[in-house]
Amino acid sequence: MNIIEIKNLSFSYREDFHALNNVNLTIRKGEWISILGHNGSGKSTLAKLIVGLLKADKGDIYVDGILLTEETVHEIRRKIGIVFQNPDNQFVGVTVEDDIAFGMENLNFERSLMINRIEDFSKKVDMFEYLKKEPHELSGGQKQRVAIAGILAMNTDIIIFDEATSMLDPKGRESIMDYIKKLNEEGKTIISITHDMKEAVNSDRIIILKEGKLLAVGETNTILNDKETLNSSNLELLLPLKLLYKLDEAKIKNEKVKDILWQLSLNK
Amino acid sequence: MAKTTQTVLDAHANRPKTALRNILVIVVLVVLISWSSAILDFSGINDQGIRIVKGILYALVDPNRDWLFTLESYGIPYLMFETVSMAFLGTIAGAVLAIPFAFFASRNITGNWGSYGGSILVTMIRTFPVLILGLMFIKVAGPGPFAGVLTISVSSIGMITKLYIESIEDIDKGILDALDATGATTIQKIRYGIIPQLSANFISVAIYRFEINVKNATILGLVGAGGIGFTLIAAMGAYRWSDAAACLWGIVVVVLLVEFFSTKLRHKLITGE
Repeated sequence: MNIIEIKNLSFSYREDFHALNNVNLTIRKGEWISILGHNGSGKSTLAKLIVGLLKADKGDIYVDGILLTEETVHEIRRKIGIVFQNPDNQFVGVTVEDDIAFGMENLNFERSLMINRIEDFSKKVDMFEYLKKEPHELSGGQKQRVAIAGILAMNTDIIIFDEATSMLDPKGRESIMDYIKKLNEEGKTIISITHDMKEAVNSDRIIILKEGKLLAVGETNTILNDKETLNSSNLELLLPLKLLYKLDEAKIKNEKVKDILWQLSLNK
Repeated sequence: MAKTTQTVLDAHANRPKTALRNILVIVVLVVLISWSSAILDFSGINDQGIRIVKGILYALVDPNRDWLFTLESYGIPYLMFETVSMAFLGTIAGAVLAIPFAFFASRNITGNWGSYGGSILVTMIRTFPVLILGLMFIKVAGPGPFAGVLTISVSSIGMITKLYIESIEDIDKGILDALDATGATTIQKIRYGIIPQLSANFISVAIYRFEINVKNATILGLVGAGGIGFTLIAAMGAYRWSDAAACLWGIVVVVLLVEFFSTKLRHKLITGE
């Protein structure tokens, strides 16, 4: 079942430059989809359009069957949570528990329910010990985990990670990727926006955007095997994948080595 | 010859030719200086002028102590308190009045045309020197500190607005996006997204302007708009140098104190240290 349908979507920040040009896309319920592309390819614009932070010039977006309009935008935002790139930008509470409560307050959750959910979801992202802490006492990764807890507490079906790991150190990045994986296994639909292929290899499908257009959409394995498309995307390929391509070019057919490189490419 | 040396020599040979421009700048400067000097009367410094300067300098060592250390309404502490109060109230009013002007003139809020219109308005306010505004407000409110407060508030709007605009145009929209995405209302976006980003800068600008306004408030008395300036000009007019020196000491001490605390406070606000 499709949870998001995007039809003929176009958007421009200025008249002579299309940030997105006639994009068509469907995202299935419960899948983990990675949107890859260079800076300026339109990835974040797409995310902002899906949650109604930007208004499309052309085209339609359906979320769970509801057409995104000015009237339905608030209803749609109850279904989608978004974790942004800059951890400091989304921390609005005075303390961690305040911050987790913020979204629920906007949705008029009952106080007793809010308290329970703050406890449950802070535990889920391993931030229960930090509930009384202020933002300046937390690392970037911890702030992102608080943002995730806030979204989980709002009980959204879809979570968008808009380059949510790009400002984190390797440890913080790894922990967020683990949570993404866990959340997807629990049934959340995940849209992960990144320019780092390493973060995309565990997703179900990959979408590659280039200059505002869809360059490729497909199962992760299929995209990783599509050497031509990947090369034309100008994305930085993972080293094992590069080696695999080189072996192919050199017509070296050691299947065991190729299998190891393939597994390494998939972070396994 | 090494390649690097050659590159440097080539760059030197290809440098922009600026000799003609430099000569032109010098010629224009010389013409402007001669032209301006033509209206000056260089008859030298007269004896009376020297006597006045001497009088003030000697009096600075021996100011009127009765005025310096009394809390009566003619004393320097009271007059400086009145002067600082005028500056304080005028700055608060100016800092608040500047907020709508600044939002109206910020490019990221009202676009190019709105910002252009707002800038013209602010520039028009800034064209009036503080003493001219003082003379105008004395006609409106009569002589005294109230006219001074009005003068300071209006004269502050221009500079404060200009500095507010810079803060508003630097606002990080990411925070507003994040708030929008969680379903925040407009009031919440202002409360959690805009005020936290702007408050420290706005307060810092207001403190900086307060520092300037304390100095402005000391001269507003010269045109009768309250504060210590009136007593100072009266003492100088009557050649009472020790009274004038007491006023000057009051001004120097207060201005230095205000500058010291304002710098500390602004540093703390901006860096959080």
